[in-house]
Amino acid sequence: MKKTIISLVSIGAALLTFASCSQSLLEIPQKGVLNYEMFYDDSEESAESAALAIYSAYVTSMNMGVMDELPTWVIAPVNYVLTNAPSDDSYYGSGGKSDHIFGLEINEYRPSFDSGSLVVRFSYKAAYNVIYTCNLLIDNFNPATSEKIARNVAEARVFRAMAHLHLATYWGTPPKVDHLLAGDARPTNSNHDELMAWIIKELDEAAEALPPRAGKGDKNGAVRLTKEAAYAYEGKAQVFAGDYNGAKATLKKVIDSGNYELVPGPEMVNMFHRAGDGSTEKVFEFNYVDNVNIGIPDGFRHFQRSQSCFWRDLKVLPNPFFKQNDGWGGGGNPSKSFVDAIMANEPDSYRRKAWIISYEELIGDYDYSGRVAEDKENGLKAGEDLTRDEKMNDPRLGLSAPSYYGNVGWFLVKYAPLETELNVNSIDANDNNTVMMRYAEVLLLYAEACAMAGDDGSGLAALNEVARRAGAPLYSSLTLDNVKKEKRFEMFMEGCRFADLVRWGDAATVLKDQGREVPSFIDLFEEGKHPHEAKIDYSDAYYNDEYGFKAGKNELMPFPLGELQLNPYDEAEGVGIKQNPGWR
Amino acid sequence: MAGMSYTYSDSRSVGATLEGTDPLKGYAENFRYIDMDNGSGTKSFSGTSAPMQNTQISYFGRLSYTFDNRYSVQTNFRADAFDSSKLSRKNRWGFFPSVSAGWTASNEGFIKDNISRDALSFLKFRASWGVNGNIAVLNDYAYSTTVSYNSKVYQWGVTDPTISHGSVPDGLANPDLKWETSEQLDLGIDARFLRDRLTFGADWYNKQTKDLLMTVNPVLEVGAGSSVVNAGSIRNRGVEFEIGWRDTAGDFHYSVNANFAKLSNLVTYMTKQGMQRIPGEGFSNFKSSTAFEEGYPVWYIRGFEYAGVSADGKAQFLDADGNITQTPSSADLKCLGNSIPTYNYGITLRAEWKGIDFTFFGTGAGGNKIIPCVYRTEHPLINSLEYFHANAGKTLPSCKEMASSTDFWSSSANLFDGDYFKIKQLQLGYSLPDNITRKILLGGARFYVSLDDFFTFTKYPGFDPETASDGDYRGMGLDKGSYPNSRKVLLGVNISF
Repeated sequence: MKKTIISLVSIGAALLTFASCSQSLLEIPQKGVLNYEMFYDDSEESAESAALAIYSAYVTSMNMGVMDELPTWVIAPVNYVLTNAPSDDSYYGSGGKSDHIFGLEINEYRPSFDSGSLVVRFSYKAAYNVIYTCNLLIDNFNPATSEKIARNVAEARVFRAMAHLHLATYWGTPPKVDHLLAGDARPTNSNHDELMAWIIKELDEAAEALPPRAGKGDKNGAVRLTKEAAYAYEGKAQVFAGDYNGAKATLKKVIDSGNYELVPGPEMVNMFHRAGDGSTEKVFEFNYVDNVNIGIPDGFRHFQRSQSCFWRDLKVLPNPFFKQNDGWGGGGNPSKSFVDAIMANEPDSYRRKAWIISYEELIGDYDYSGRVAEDKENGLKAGEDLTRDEKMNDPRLGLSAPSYYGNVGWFLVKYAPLETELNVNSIDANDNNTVMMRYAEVLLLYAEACAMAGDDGSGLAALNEVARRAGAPLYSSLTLDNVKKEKRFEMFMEGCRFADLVRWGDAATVLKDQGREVPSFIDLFEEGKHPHEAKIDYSDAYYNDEYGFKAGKNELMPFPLGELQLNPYDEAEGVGIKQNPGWR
Repeated sequence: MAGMSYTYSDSRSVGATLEGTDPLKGYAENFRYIDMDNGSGTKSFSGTSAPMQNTQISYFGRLSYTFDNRYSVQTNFRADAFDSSKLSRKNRWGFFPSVSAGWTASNEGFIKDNISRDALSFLKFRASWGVNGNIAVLNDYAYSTTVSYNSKVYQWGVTDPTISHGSVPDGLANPDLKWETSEQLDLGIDARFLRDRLTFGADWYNKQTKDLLMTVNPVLEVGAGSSVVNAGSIRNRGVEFEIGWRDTAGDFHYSVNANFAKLSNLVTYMTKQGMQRIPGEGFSNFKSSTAFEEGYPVWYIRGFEYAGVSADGKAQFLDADGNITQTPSSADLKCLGNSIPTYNYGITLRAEWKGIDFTFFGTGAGGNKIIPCVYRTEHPLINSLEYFHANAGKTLPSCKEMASSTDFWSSSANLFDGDYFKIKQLQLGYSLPDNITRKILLGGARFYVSLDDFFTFTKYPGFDPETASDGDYRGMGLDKGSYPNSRKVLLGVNISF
């Protein structure tokens, strides 16, 4: 009996021993990570690392967006779609009226465009993701620690303000998130005017701690935030907030810095390509240089924009463009309204040819060396030997489909992917930079501020500086209408037009018929009888009965549906998100 | 019985390469090793990986007791813990008791004495209750906030491809993360009657899963990615019946077995932290999808409710308030049904007479809905199901209207009952008599012909309602053309020696 008890006790003791040491057996440290406190340790190295993460998050939001939710059917950079598609400058295009509905519905003001739009959701989400990475730095580092940390904190404040400016412009009253939020936070709409005032103040204060660009030749000063970049965004926010006197003073600091100059007209064609990276005109852009050792980070490559701007339905493309093997493309075609306006103003300007080209120019004026081979049987020459006349009559060139949807025979060359800048081992990605703010926009914002608040001549000079460089006719007076006209041409498809129309109060008139007709073009080519020529085809252009900007609604984007269901406005508590007028 | 188990796994890998134009001594199969090099190549060592270590400790015990073939009781207990990659020290232990009891009533005197064994040969009542746990989805220290060190890149030089690195936390931490547990209650009865010719079994169960581990997204303004939380509760409840009859009449042996199960599941609770409706799987630019939400079946199908054709030939839908609309908005998406069958059944018939045998085996399921993912509006020239052409201009809008209406394809007009009954097997066989097989020195020989998966009874117009799923657990009911079960005709011979 005694023996039994002893053995039971010893078993019990053995179990206890095991149980107590078992805790340590279960401790396996995680590899390749630091814990939160270890990382946010007040060191300059950590602050720099946290700042870099913001650049990475921001450029990702511009190029790929945050598309981590199912089901997903957005195959274009969401901010490119959100800011450009609702304007009168382009047709969204794609393969047909039922193809890339996520963009078509915004472009044509279709009734299906609503708060469920994933373009809206991902753009909103990406902006707050940027703000989160900014707050991680701002909340965890003290700018008084050192000059370097002060610079990092200032960078975070500028990026946070830029993301809020995007949100305030498109959603009006987005929640202001000026600190890290807990997972169960219930944010509430901001007051638009107060938010704008805060954005301006943040930019103004942050600019103090940022270094200026080291002269016009400082290419690297275009890809990291500078004092001037902060002032350019501050001036933009002031113009958007209607503080024209403030804007004049702020933007003048950028102009007077002497660190920027418009590139010459013939170089405009490089503006959105590798050759133009870090040019004298770039106030701020996100940098990306192909590096075969790290592969292609999704957020940097222009894969989505290349894919969606790529020209489909053409048999062959001339140099220097490249035709992707599996691109979807067909998106962002110049609208008839834009083509007519710029052709009336400046048909042969550097700018017109750097931004858009006609179907006939694409076939006749470009080089097909290496793109079509000699065909003796049919008496057709190799690409390098073709004359203009032969190209115009060559059956190997031109449309590969019966018609080209959402296109009036004009192509956007501004962002057209070039073969020369393809990443190594890639068929679809190129490494040109993501332009955020260029000096031309600074000059136009300055001209607008002067037109509104009174001009000493420098406003008209700024406007004409832009027009002169473009090779366009100059203006004899500084009027808001002249600024509007010039800005439409200069900032074509750079995400300015729709926001400008709204704040100028022109959207309801200019966009009244947007989406009413969506033409296609066909090629009149008939071998031996008619050369290549685009003809606009209206046979299926009128399918949208509910076209057009609706005043009182379309000034703002809807808050994302999921957000409203998660955090609806609660009258009693006074917290939560209120949907914008006219949206459900 | 009591026990303890301790499992530790550790895997590491090393890599080495040999490069050169003619680096090996020989190139036959048995020379292809790095140490068979002839010295002309370059050997490089790519390093040792970080070890993958996993540990699990369990304690378990069982006590069972049976009294007089009438009463039996069994209790089990186990405690499990995994290493720190799964749960925090505070929450890592899960304790899972269970108890079951049985009462074989047919062995009670009052039954034995009063009811003939010929009428009731066996009767047993069963009950069990137990808790078990699951943390299979957890890994990578989801409970702790860690910083993905040097995981972000940027380049500070416009022409210099040198990479600089940056770091961010990997999502929001959830230090309170704990085991997902399921509590299940089972009640059952087994009975055999008429000299074991008639068998009957029935079970009822109710399984409540709580602290379900799911990945949720906080409100967008938080700006951080998803985190794993103990998000909600699910109730699975069902009944199962089984009945069989077997008998012999002279040389004729036969049996009939049938079973039927009904099950329902419901998301009974979802945390208020994060997204209240978790989107599942969708297709193309359809607005319909599966979704996970409190008050609805697990991964239910969500879409617009189709309301026929308007006078001018357009598709109509019901909005959230029940009014007819031709332009529904995302706020009008609603639950259109289950993606998972709510009942299934089976029947098996077997008969044998003088070496001839016959089998009939059929199964069915239903109560679920299926979205055929065939047509997509962005490719209007691709095929669609015959059903849509046959009903165009009648219960459905014209083909022209349908072709570009994403709302139409996202509605219940493109949703079908998944009910089916399938004869899985219809087989006729003949076995040679023993006296013949013995003469040709065989143990046995059987010839048969079988029709497998040959007959399907369903109204579903797509491929195979049985395999209609996109292969993801969230995407039951999305028929993305999973390879259907093929109809098979088999002619066979079984020979044994």
